Amino acid sequence: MKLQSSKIITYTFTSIIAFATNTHALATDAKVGVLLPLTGSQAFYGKEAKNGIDLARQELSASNVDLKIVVEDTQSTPIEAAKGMNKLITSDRVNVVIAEVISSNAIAAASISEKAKIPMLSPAATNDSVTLGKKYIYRTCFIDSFQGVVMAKYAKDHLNAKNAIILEDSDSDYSKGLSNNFKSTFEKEGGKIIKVLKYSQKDTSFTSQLGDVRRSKPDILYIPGFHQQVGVILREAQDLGIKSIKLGGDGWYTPDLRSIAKDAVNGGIISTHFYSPDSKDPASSVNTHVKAFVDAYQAEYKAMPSAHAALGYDSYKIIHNVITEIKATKTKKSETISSEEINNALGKLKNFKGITGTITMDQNHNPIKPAVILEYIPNGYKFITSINPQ
Amino acid sequence: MLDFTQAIIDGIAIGSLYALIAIGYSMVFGVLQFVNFAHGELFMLGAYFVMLFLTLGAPLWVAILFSLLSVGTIAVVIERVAYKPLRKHSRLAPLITAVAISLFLQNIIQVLFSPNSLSFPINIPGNIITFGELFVRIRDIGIFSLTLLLAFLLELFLFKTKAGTGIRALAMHADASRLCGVPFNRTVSLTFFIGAILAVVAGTIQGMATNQIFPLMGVNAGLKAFAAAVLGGIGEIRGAVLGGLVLGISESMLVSYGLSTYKDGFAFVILILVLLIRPQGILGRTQLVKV
Repeated sequence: MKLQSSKIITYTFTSIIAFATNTHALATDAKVGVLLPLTGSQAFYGKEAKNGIDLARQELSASNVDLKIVVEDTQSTPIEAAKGMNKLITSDRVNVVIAEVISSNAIAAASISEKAKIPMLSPAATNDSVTLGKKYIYRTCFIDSFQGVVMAKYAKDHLNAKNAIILEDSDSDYSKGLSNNFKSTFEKEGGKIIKVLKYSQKDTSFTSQLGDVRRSKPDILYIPGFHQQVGVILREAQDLGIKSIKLGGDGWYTPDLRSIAKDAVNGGIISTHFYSPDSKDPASSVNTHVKAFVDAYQAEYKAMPSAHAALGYDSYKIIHNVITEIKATKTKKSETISSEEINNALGKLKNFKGITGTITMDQNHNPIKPAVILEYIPNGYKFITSINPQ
Repeated sequence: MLDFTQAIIDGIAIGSLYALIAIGYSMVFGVLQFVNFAHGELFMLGAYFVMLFLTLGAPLWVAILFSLLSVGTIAVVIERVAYKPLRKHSRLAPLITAVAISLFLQNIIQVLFSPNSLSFPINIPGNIITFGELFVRIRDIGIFSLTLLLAFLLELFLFKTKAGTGIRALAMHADASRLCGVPFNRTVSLTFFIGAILAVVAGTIQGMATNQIFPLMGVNAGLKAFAAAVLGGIGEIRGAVLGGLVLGISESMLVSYGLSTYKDGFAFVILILVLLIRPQGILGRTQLVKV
């Protein structure tokens, strides 16, 4: 009798557990980790990407694929990025991770997810080495070598520049990547790099470096850095009467740059992922789905989306798209979606229509897509051109 | 030669800020033989308070005055609450507490004002005047003059007033000064207050010059100023000013000779060298410690 009752209890429990797991599988198709710098010095970029992801989730909430999101903060440091990735994989058991917008942190996180064989998609980490030689790491943005090459060619062909000085952020892999590629391409095209000057993210004054620029009078001053330092650099360059054309990368592309640099930013030319035209701009009618995104974003957050918001949005849609396709191949509803399947699908991603361009993954897991060149004009940007990779 | 002269000019402004912060380290050390590692955070707090009062609509001079008073008071409270109870314990105890206070202040500001950098409402334009190839910012001349003026006024205060004499007496010999009727606790508080005021001035200048403030701005500035204070001879006002300027100019030289990567490490190389070769610093006097 005693044995009997314990058996009944066991059965009841087993069936409850089975039922619970079953409904769980029905409710959620996959778990997606989101690992971003939500506090710390790079929190701005992380929050923008998060806004983009949230907007995409809202739009896709009616679809028949249900994804559960687990968010972790990296505090803008590589150490916390690695810890956060570890937690997402071992304790939250996510199937795929959208991780980090800052290259140095993405590199740290990628080493963990590669080892655990969990695919990771970075919205905006542009340093070449993030995906290099990795089987499970992908990204939505183009890479530094492309960005540096594009700007060097633009300076040579369109601005007829003969010489340049590079002002490099020695604390950032991103800045070094852009700087090296700009240098090699500019020199290959027959230009002269007068000097590569360096600064640190801790610096609050850049007068010593800019004094050098002032004496050398280069055609181009290339500053591939982040807005906190670039803003001060631009202001000081204006104070010193430096007339060189200032070029930069996507690290400039935030509203905060203008609030620090004020009108010193005007005339600056950058390469970036995405252009958010407002309705007054004639270029906005060209791309209707970009306009739809910008309008939806403005309605939700009362601000213009930055490149990081657009990349976050595209990243989530890519993951959603990939999982929808895998789910369609499943015959039985109880079949779960594995990380391995997501990884295979990401590698084969082709002609995905994102708002940052049409994305096809190359064999190194980097998307083949165009870069946008923008000029800062008072109160806005002027779209100059969009350059495709050869 | 041109690079060399320009580097000296460029280094003076940042050196002046180091000097203003270094004076606070130096005075507190002179009086209590204790390094107040939370001092860099007073520099940061000063900038945040000025910004807060400005956004509340106060004119600049009122904002600065209120910020001086508030941060000065905070410094005095920190001393009373966190350091005073530990005065009789080992020398290490208040030092560890100071690090804790420093972390506490950094994080409370991150919680209250977000970890992002904020744009400062009022700016000093950075116009330059040129002498041939050389150039100097008018702003930097102002910062340098203000630093010298404040250091001069402080010396005047220390040598010409009763309270100032009290501070010097305390620095010379704590027990003997007590016997002569110097109020110990009040004098220590005054020292912290003065140090805080100078840090607030430095923080406000940096905010207005760079147009941005952030919660961790005191970390680097504080460490550099500490190195400057040791270099000049900790406990000496003139030493702190000299140390700040020497450090600022050396850093600027490293940058102009293409060694900017080593710039931040340089302050600590100086710190180690000074402690090894001349622990009392450039202007410091060797003291006989009688047992």
